[in-house]
Order: sequence, then structure tokens, then C-alpha cells
Amino acid sequence: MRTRVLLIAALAAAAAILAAGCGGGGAEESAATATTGAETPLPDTSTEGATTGEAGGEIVKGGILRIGSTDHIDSLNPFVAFNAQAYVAFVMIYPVLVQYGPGYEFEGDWAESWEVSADGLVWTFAVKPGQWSDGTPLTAEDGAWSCNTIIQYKSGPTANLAPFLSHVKECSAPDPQTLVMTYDQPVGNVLPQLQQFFILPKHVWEQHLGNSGKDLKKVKPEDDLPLVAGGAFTITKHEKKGTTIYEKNPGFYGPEPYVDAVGLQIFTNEDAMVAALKSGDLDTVDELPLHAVDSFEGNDDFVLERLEWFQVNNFIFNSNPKKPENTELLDLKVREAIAHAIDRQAIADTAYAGYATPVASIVAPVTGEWMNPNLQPEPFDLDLANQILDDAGYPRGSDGIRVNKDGEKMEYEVITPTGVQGINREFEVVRTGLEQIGITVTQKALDDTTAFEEIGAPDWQYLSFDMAMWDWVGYLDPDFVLSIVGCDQYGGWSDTGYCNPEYDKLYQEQGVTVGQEARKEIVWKMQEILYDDRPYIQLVVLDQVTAHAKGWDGLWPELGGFSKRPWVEAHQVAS
Amino acid sequence: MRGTNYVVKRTLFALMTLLVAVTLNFVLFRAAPGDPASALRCRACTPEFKEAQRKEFGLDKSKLEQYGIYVKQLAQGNLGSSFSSRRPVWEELKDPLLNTLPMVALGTIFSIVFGIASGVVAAWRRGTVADWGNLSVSLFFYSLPTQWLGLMLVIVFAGVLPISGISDPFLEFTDPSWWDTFVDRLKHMLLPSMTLGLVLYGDYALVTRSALLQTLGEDYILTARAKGLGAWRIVRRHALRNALLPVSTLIAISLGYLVGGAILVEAVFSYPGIGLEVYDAVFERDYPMLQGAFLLLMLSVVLANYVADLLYLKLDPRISE
Amino acid sequence: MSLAAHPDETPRTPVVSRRQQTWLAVRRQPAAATGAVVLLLFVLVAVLAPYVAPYGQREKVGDLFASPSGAHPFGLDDGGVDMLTLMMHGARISLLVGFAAAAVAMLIGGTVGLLSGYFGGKIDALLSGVTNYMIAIPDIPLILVAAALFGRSLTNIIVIIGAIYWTYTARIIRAEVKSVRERVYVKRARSLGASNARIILRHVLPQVAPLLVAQTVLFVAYAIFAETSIAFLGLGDPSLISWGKLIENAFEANAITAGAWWAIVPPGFAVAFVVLACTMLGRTLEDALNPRLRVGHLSVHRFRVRRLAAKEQE
Repeated sequence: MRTRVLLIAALAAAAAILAAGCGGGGAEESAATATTGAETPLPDTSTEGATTGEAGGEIVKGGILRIGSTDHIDSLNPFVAFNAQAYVAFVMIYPVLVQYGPGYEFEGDWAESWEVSADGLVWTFAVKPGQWSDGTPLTAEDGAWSCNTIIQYKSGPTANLAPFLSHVKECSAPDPQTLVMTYDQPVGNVLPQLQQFFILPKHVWEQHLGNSGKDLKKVKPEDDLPLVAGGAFTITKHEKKGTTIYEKNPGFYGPEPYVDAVGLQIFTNEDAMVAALKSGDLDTVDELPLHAVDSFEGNDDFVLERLEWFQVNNFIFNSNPKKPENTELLDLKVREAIAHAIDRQAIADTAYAGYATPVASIVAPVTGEWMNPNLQPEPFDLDLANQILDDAGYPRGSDGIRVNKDGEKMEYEVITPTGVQGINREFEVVRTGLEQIGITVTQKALDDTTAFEEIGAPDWQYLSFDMAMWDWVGYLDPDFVLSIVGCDQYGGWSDTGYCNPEYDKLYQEQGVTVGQEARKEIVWKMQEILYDDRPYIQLVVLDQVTAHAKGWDGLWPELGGFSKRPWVEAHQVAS
Repeated sequence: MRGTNYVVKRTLFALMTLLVAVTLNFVLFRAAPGDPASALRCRACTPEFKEAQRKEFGLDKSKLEQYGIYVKQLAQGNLGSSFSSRRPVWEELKDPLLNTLPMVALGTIFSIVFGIASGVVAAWRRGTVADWGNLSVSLFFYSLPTQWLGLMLVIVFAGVLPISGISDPFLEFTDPSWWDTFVDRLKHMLLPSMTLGLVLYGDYALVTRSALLQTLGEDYILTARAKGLGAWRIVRRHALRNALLPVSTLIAISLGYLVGGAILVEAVFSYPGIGLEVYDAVFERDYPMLQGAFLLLMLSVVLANYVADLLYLKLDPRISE
Repeated sequence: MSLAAHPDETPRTPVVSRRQQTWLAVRRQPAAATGAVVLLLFVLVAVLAPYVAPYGQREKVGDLFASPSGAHPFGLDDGGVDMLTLMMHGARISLLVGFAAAAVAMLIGGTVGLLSGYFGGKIDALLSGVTNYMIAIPDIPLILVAAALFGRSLTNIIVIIGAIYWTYTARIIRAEVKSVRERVYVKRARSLGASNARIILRHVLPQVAPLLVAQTVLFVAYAIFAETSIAFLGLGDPSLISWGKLIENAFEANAITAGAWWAIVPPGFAVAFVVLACTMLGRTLEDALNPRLRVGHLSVHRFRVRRLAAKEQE
């Protein structure tokens, strides 16, 4: 659901381009925009990672790539897992039809090639021959079975993966190397969706369909290692809060990885993780804590990459028109004033050590064209904010605090989840800003689960809370991050209680619009609606800084979780 | 016999405490505010499915029924299943518990060694700077927040000793001997245990010192000193015995608490012990895990206190009705 | 400085009242006097903090994690806020929690101990039962759970800490009350027909009060410890700054990797000094008033050792 959930933590240095992009401009842009606090040179990521050791040495095969992270795999069952790290694992160990490649162009992973029928309803994939790690042949039948099973139980056991197959009617495997997926209407973002469709071994999972499919959620692959995997690696050892060891799958249909194994070590203490990297106990860290970046200054043994990312921090208004209390917060003028009173740059500077950028939309800049560039973050202007409130009829009381039309003081609680890094400093900036315009806010810090419950209280009717702060981590395709404010998300993903039928109609439309330009128009319009209605005030988008030891190459940090390349092409270079 | 009476009494007490603990455990977590079923996270699940999940975990029954099931399961040695990982609680807690125990034991050894050494020196040189100095230092360490001291050790020893985890996860790829593995584990345990040892040795120092002071003033000690017997010999042979009872009971009881109390040290050093499990379970609202962990912790405390009671009997025959 | 034995302690006879005894003890023992002075100093700083702190506690005055300098002797934290200011404001919350939680523990524990020791019989059995059973509960994990379940406001933290540790006080007060009860004048008052309440308030309580105070002082130390633990585990009130919170902030903001030791060191020392002060003061008071309790005083704070003397009184 949030930072810890979904998708990967790596992204694009290239601010660009999906399918319809300008390829050449991307490389230059990447070198220019991605600067680090440390004085280490930025690799030109659009050509990096090619199979010739770019770092200037020859490829050394073998060895083990040791990765450090603070995000752990919460479950090895794809129907139960929530954490981003689990999804990284699934991409590596299971066949996926397509993956993002360099420049974010789609390339086939398991699929050799694909074609769409004229009416846009039937997608046919030619899939590569391979074997599961236990020797069983990997065929299109596994794909069809996975697909149909997910669809069959999508209202319950397989709900976590079902959204990636939305609009799929059924799948079939006319022959072992051909997978046919039939949609009920033409869909515009098939490939991005399928990038998260993990294909499971039928011969292992079909035994767990009991209890109307509920047994699927009870499967514990952790207890049955080595995992039966069809991707580049399989898991041979797994400690939930310790280390997970991935070893090569000999039956992998793709190029053989250079390394023998990958080890993922989980740290609960970031300082220890950084220390381990510096002392050579780790080769790479997926996410460097922002306050630690400066400590690498002048250190030539490490390569740091500062990447644009997906995490957008938001300030949330309860937008349920039925909310009984503090209805002045439904007044768009009030929201506008508040938006002018939040100093986004100060947030970027104090909460995130400068590694963040003010934004205006929930669709992050890294998605390229999907972000509406016409929307700008409201300028930080206290005078303007005060003016707006004065004009809208919210005068200040004798103590300086404004009152609403009923004479009640404008004092509110802001729910903040403890799981978001830097949220306390972020709140502090908000608080001081609002204080200056006569609105008092106090922080109500809760753990993530409780925070979400409080937002939805009572019972997912969104009638009680006033304000909250959280973040959203989207994908390269904007579909998911635009879906969270749908009317149907009450009790699902919604953290705003927002419901706008016009918006929902547009959402459905973009989901089935095949032409990129046309779809882009709709997506931009949706962002405009959100900007005007302001269920959120988008604050900043966070950068991600990854680090690796100098002797490693081919790590493709911007493709983490999107592709098998980072681990397949990772290699040491002879110094 | 009076002794037997005492044992029976203490055994009954231990069992009663256990029963109350079990009940308290249940009440605390099932009666707590917040819907435990929300921890059964489920993206875009229908309400029917959530209801089915609730049923599966028995959350739809009355509290009394749930209590009955809980006790019955306990009797069968079943601690329930974790909400987040779906695995049996005992399975999830087994390894962390086994990680914490040696670390805590090593920590206790450190505190005993530091404590006795400090207490002996202080008692022997009573009234001098050595006495005053030793007590001050031990008190000072005792007054430091545990996690803070751990952080200080991290600052000092980062790079020299491992500062996180219980072992080098990639060691197995270098084909280590059992000695290598043992040393590796020990190195990882060193800093966390040392933190515990430093923070707690004040107790032992004080206890040792008091016990020694009681005997060192005795005539036969003076005689021994006049005879020219070595200081350490005198202390070891005569005086230390007096410290045996309080030190032993201190050890027994403190071990019981340390298992749960090591949580701070585990948090600083990312040491995957039972303390850290409790910490995670709290934030994940994983009630079965919390219940199971609490039960184990309470069990260790009750057991430790029981052992301490028995030690009293053995070492101090004055105890009777 | 000898903490365990008091060679020149006056024998307790009705001639020297307990109150006088206590005062004498504090004056004579340099440790206790030092402790009292240190404590007073910290309280002074805490009370005056808003007036004497050099900068605002949320005011960014320089770079993040700037090192100590003339203008900022303790450096700046991860938000660019002056550490000295933070330390002063932190004193307010830490000491507030310490004293308040100790007061709660004293109130509950004192009452339970009083009733239990005075009335004996069934009431004693019941209350002692509760006291004894609470022994089995692991304190820090329970605080963790309680804070997570019931919310992280300051009041909650104070109540939770007090509610978990009252058992120590209860046991000691109970023992003390039992012995006081047998004193001659109490017996005389009873035979003269004075009501229970009257006896408790006029005769028992004054005798027990100094010990209660000593316990409370010791408790301040432990409550402060507990608060730093809670804050470190991320369960403190996020809008308030305490010493424990400062340690946690620094830890979360990777002060160690950034080399910003000044963000971590001062709060730890501050806690240590206050705890030391309370311990020295409280112990001396306790020793003066109840010399039988000789073994393992420190133990009160970390483990629940049943002291030999206390055992004998059971």
C-alpha cells in the first residue's frame, strides 16, 4: 500500500520516456539531473550495464553479490506479501512475460515476442523454453494456469495480484510455447500490468486450491526451500529478518547470470548497514539513508547514484462530503490557503537533507509524460494565504487563531504514520506554516495500521478524521496511483474518502484507451481534477540514492524490481 | 519437614502465577482496542473474504469461547499462528529465543565478572579511593540508558567488531570450520553482551561488596591476614562464600527478566532475538505473535523466580515457614 | 563514600523523630547532598528552560548536524536545531515524566501497601496476590504493548509507567506498615477506640511517609529510564522533546554514520547524572530509615530481587 509496499525502490535517472519517448534526449537529461551530494561522478546510466565492463575492466564471473537493505521480505507467498522487497524477489525468481529495459522500453523476459489481435482483445505471447528449478519443464500451461487461477479467486485469496490482470477474461496455452490472453475490452496498459504478473509453477501450487482457493494464502514457500522457481534465481535460504540467499536456476530461459549467487541481508539499523558497506561486508545498498550520503564525500571506493523516484509525500484532507465536523475543511478556499502556507522547499531541506523536490501531482516526474507538467506546486506565500482566508470569511480570533462560520476555532489533528521516514520534521514545517496563517494543528502519531484505521474510521466510512500525512509510491505506469482515489476504494486503498464519479469515469476510460496520446490526455485531465479538488496537497517527491562498491558493474539500479537485469548482468570487474 | 513445605508452597505459587499470566495475556491482547483482524491485511479484498479470514482465526466467536480455545491450544503446546506470516508462532519464536539466550547469558557472565572483581576490590580496600572509585564507576554505568551505551560502543567499535546481526551471513560460502563459525557468532555477540554487562554489573558489585564487608571484619579474617595469607586466598576461601547466596539469586532472577529486557540492546545491534520479535509484532499488530512471545517471557520469569526460591532454600537454611 | 554501612548512624529511638533522622542523614552523607544539589540544578534548568534557552526548540539555526562551535557548544541536530536548547527543553519532559510517574507509582503502591500491611488478613492476601503476580509480567515489553495500544500521549506514558512499577513500592511499604502497626502507640490508639482511618492517617502514614518519599525519589530514576526506553522504541509522544527522544532522533537520523556524536552523547550523560543523583539521594534516605534493607538496593530498579531482609519480614 505505501512506501513499504509495492514496487520497487529503484527508478530512473532518466526523467523520460516510456514507449512514446524521445530516446536520445534521455541520456543527456539523466546525466544532468541526477547529481549527488557526494563528489562521485555519475555514471551515464543509459549505456551503463552493457555486457562489456563499462567501468573499465574485464568481466569477472562468479562470486556472490551482497545486497544490504532495511526493507525485508514479509512473505514468500505472492498472495500474502506486501513489502516491496518481496516483489523484487518475485520478479527475480518467477517468469514474467515482459520487463522494463534500458530507457524504460519494454523487452521480453519470458516472452520472445508478442502480438495483438486487430480488435485489441487477444494478446498472443511466444514464450521461451525453460525449466523450473526442480527440473519440471516450464511451459505456457503454467502461465495459463496462473492467470486463470488469479482471475478465478480475485475477490478473495488472489486479490493482491488480481489488479494486474484486470479486464482479462481468460488465458489458454494452445501449445507449450504459446500463451494466449483474452481481454474483455481493449486495454491501453497491458505491458506495464503484465510486468507484475508472476507466473507460478502449476505443479506445485495447484494442490493448494482447497477451501475455495483460500488455501492459496496458507502456502508457506519459506518452509519448502529451495523454492521451485522458474526465473533467473531460486531461493535456497531465507531468514525473514536476516539473510536470503538466491542461487542460479540452471533451467533459466534467459542469459546465465555472471554471479553464482545473490545474498540479501536485512538490517534494522541503517548505520550498521552503511558501516557494512564501507567495510566491504556488502557490495551494494539499495537505498542509502539520506543523512549518510555526505559521509561518502571524497570516498573513491564507492559509486553513488542519485535517482529520481516514485515516492510522493502528501498532505491529506478528509474529502468525504458527508463528514459531520469541521466542514470548513471542505471549502476549497481553505484548502488553497493551506497549500500556500506549506513551505515545500523547507521540507525538502530539513526532512530529506535536500534530496527531495517539490511536486504538484501524485504522478511522479519520473514517469515521464504521464505527469501533467502544467500543474505547478503552489508557491509558498503566507501573505497570499492569509489574504485568501480573510476574504473567504475566516477571521482571526483575539488569540490569533482563525474561527470558522460557526465561531469554532480552526484547530485540527493531523494523523501521521510512524512508518514514513522524516515525517516528524515534515509535520513541523507544516505546523509552523499553518500557525502563521492562524490555523493550529497538532500531530497524532500512530503506527501504520492504526493510522490507516483512524483515517477510515468509523468502519471505512471516513467520517471522523480531518487531516493526515502519508505518501504514495507509484509505478512507471500511472494507473495504480490514480486508482487510489476512486469511489470503490473506500475500505480499499483510499486514504481521503474522496469520491468523484466524473473522475472514476475517466479512470475507467484511460484503462482501456489504447492510443498513448489519447490516454495521456485523459491522465492529465485526471490530475487536473485532483489538483482543483485538492483531496491531497502533494508535497515533495523523494530522491533515492543507491551505492555500490567500485568493483561492481552491471547493477542497473534504475531497473530494480522492474527487470531481471540487475542481478543477471551484475558482475565484478577486474581492477 | 519444613523444607518440603516451602518447596510445595513455592511450586504452587509458581503455577498460580503462570495461570494468572496466561489469563492476563489473553485479556490484554484480545480485549485491546483496535480490530485485530485489520492485521490480516488484504488488498482490495471483499468484505466476505475478510469475514472468512476472521472466522478462520476464530475472531468471530465470543471472548469466552476464544479464551477456552486459547487455553486448550496452549495445553496442546499450540501457540497459534502469526497473522502476518501465517506460520505457527512457536516456529517463528524458536530461533529468536535461541538467539537471545546465549547473548543474555554472556552478558550476565560479563556483569558477574566485572561485578565481583569490582566488589572485591572495593570491599578489600574499604574506605579508600579504590572503594569509592569502583562504586562510583559501577553506579555511573548503572545509570546510563542501555541503548545509549550500546550506541557508544557502536561508535567506538564500528569497523573493529561487528555491530549488527548474529553472524556473517556469507560466511558459509567460504567453507568455514566449526571453530570459524563459533568465533563468528561470538564476535557478533560480544558488543551486545558487553553492553548488558556494563550496564548491570553495578548490582553484582554492590552485592559482592556488602557480602564481603560482613565477613571481612571478622576475627578469623584478621588472624588470617596477620598470618600473612594472600589477600585473594582469604577472600576466595572465606569471604566470597557469603556472597554466594545473594549473587546466585540475583543471577537467577535477572536472567528471567533479561530475556525480555534485552529488547533495547537488540534494537541497537539489530540482533534478531525475541525482544526484536516483540517489537515488530507490536507494530504489525500481530496479536498471536505478541501473545506467544509474552507467554514465553512470563514463563522465563516465573521459572527464574522459582529457581531463585529453591536456591534460597538450598543456600540459606534459615528459610522455613 | 560508603553506601552500604553507616557507622555513625544514630540508633532509632523515639527521641529523634524520623523526619529529623532523614534530614540528618542527608546532611551527613556527601553523596546524598551532592545528589540533592544535582537534582535541584536539573529541575531549575527544566523550569527555566523557556526563558534561558539560547534558541527556539524548533528553530533551524544552521546546517543539519553542524558540529559544536562557540555559538552552539553542543552542536546542531538533524534538523539544524541547537542541541543545548533541546537538552534544556528535554529536561522538562524527562523530569516531568520522571516525577509524575513516580508520583503515580507512589500513590498506587503506597495505598496498596498501606492497606495491605495495616489490615492484613483477606485484604492483604488479595492485594499481595496481585502484587506478587504482577512480578511475572516483563516490564519493557508490556510498556511497549500498552503504549502501542493505548496511544502515545504524555499522560498515557506517565500512567503506564506508574501503573507497571507500583509493585516495588507496595511491597516495601507493606513490610514497613506491618512493623509500624506493632508499635506501642499504635496499639494504644487502637485500644482507645480510634477508627482505622484515623490511625492510618495520623499514626501510620507519618511514620511511613519518609520511606515513601525515599522510594519515590528512587523511582524518579527508574521512570526516567523507562521513558528513554519508550522513546527509543519509537513510542514516545512525537510532538514533545525529551532526552530519550533526542537519542532516538539521532539514531533514526543516522547521526553515527554522519559522525554527529554530539547529537547522541549529551542526552545519555544527562540521564545518567539525574539517575545517579536520585539513586544516591534515595538510597541514603532509605538506608537511614530502614537499615535492614541492606542488600542490593540497585536491584530494585532492574530486577525484583526479594531482599533477604524483606524475606524475613514476610
